[in-house]
Amino acid sequence: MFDKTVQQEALGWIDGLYGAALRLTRNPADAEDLVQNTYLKAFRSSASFKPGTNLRAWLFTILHNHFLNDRRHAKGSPVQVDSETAEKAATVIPAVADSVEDTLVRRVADDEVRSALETLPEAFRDAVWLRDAEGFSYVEIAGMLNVPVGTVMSRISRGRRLLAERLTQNARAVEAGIQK
Amino acid sequence: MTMNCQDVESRMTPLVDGELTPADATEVNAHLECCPPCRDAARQEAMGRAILRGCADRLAATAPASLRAQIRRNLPMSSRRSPWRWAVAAAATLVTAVAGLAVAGLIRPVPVFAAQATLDHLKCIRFGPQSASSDPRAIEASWKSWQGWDLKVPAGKAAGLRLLGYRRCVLTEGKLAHLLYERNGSIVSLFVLPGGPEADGAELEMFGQDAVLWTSHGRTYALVGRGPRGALTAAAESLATELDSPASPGSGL
Repeated sequence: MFDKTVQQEALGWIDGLYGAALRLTRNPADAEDLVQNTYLKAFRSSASFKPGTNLRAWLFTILHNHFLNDRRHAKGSPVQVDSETAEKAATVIPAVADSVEDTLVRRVADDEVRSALETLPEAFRDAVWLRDAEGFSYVEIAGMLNVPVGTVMSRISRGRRLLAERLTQNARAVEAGIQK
Repeated sequence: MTMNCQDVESRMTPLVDGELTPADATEVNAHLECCPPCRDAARQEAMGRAILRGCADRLAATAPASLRAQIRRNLPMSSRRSPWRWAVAAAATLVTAVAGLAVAGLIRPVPVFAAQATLDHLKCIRFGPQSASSDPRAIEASWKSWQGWDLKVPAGKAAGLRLLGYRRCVLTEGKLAHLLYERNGSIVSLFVLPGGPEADGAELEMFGQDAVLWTSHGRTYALVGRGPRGALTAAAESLATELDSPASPGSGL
């Protein structure tokens, strides 16, 4: 059983876990359920947590396992389909024109990034967020998503490029609008 | 050795993250010097990374205070807990292990299921329904899409019950449905277990609660709540009638 300090630390990660749950379920009520089940599971199986290892990564792993299990139950089909399709669909990425890039770097509104993230295939969105927002290592993310490290890197890579591409398209559209 | 585009592709992310060994980084950069498509890809990845990292803090979600409070209440070592609650928790752990077998169909005696239902009721009524809805059809549809089996949800009006919603029990993996109702200001649980033990409608007293178990069309039902003795049996009979009526079982008529 966790001692008080570990419990407090675990509770301290609730915002990040809720954010991850929201991105996965895309629904606040389901996200709350998922976070609640994650903590229940964590406190119940606290014996399997190795003190000194990364508690936050362990909690995120439980959350992802839970989500995948729930969805497997709901759909009755393996989850890989979605990410495989997404990976195939996203192989071709056009190059970026310098002028547009400058426009982008100038300032990208948070809302724009938020909605661009929303349009990414789930597998990429999740990997990119775990890396760039939550700061997990490739190995930690591989453990959470139960995929090889190489797959994690390729999802991060494609996620970042797609994000840049979507924002570039937005910026191009804005520029075109101004020029008219 | 010179790297080709494929070698570089697989090293793009650690390159952009600055996590390549100096030797690898030199080789990758040498390739980027002379390969515009790879160079563009690397630049684009670096741009996506910089943009996201630049605003990740502001995009981060905040968990609702109610969720935070609820999880705090669920802490296993909460100091606010009375010895009675500890006893329930300890007994629950023990019975859950046994009840897992009951759900798995390995053992099926009625008292085990009654004990499990009562302890689940005691454990879970503190938290209320996770999925709140007073619409039987909506719960049935949501259960079907979540767990894949048909759950008949009685509206319970004729039984003097008001439907509150259902709980998703992690331990039983959806094999046992838990519906919550309100009756005279206290919560009453209806558990539904497909292929559960054959029960005859007798009222049992367990852990200070009453439980009525019956079987109908291959499902075992357990209605659990606080007395007075006999009142729960009347409610259970009314629910059984509603469940057996072929037309719109949830209408409460």
